[in-house]
Amino acid sequence: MAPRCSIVPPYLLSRLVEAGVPLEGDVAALATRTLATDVRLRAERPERARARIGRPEPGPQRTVDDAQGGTDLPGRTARREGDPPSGDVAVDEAYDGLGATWTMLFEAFERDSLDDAGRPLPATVHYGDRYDNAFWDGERMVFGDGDGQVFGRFTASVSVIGHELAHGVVQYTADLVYRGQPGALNEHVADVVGALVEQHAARQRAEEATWLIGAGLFQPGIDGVALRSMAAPGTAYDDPLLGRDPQPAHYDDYVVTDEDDGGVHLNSGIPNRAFHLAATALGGFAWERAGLVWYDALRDPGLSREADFAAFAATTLAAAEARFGAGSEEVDAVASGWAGVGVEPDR
Amino acid sequence: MSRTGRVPGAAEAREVGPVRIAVSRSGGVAGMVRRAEVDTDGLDDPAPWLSLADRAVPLPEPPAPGRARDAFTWTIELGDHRAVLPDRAVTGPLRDLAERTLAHGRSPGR
Ligand SMILES: [Zn+2]
Repeated sequence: MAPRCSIVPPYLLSRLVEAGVPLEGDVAALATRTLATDVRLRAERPERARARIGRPEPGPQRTVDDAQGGTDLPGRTARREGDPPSGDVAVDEAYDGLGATWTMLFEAFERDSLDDAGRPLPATVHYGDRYDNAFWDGERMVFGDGDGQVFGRFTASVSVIGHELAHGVVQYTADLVYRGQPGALNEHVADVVGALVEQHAARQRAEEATWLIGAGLFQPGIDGVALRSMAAPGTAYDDPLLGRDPQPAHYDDYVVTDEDDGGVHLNSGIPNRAFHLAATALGGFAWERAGLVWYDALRDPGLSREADFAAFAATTLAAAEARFGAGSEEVDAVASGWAGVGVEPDR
Repeated sequence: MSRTGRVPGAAEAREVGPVRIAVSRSGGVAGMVRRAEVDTDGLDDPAPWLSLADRAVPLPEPPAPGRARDAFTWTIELGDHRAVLPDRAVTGPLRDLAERTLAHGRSPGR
């Protein structure tokens, strides 16, 4: 395929055409050609992916297995793609959550599954005995049933299912090292995707959304609304049994610890809030602008596996500029998001 | 009450003082830390603890980073030994000891 001419950025051409600006001569020809190529490329990409795996229609390829309270993976197959509901709530929630995540990735980012080539989506539920966690094991999502006192089953939250799948997307893209700042960014991106899956499924605008991760996991009697709040990190719970949500919301409060792989689930609060600030400054559907910028940044080959907050912030600014143009309100929103949490982007 | 125990890691079991066991389990998708500790000194029946502690050492070296995300991280102190380990590296008697400590130990500082 011939390289695309990139003298005039596509966003600018689209904008000129949309605005009805009359284009003449070379520019007009270029605009027509570029936009046509853009549309064709976009249409072609899933096509290629489908051809590669011999699938007629794009769609999720889900398998949900049941560990039946044990820890051997994958467990016994409980529901395959296209099967009717199994009647097991955890199996069916996992199936639906995987579907919602695939759909958000495809419709918002034109991404066909974790690897953008239709990779199957395997999950295991009923893992362990009263197991208080959900994780991505490098290959599949795994969900515990919760202890029944603090936590119920971890499939109950679509944002948690989206979060786990997002770790798979990160693995196939920036592959951020799971420690310290790059680890907190890995967690952050997973939360962004988790929140966007929920918002996309509910067709919720940034200003209407809860921005909570893991709402509905706590059992009655626990004083908390969710695992994390992207809008106000550090406020998701405050309970005698659990203590207080320890997430910082500003870079000044960055937590240094050797627990939690260097505080990856704590310090993610800082970029989480930056994203929330950017998305709510822009308004509307968060996946259409802020989400797209973050997704572009994640796929930027210049983003190091060891990126710190400042490097990632710079990559999001560059992504916003590339897609929406220098001086655009998108660039302003992203810049003020990072400024709001005290992160100064690399120059 | 017996005040004797075994030095974890000693090749030969020796009669010595009590053993302090401190465990934290951090991370997981919830990112919540649970901490607990046990002094075998203060126990009515330290024998099962000491037996586990004796078999749990030497503590394993942390393995090379894997692809798991949101798995638990354990920080385990056993006498003079300390290790920070991913969930998959905490197995056998060490796992029994770590889980037993979380389940029955006291919160630090209490
Ligand atoms: Zn995570």
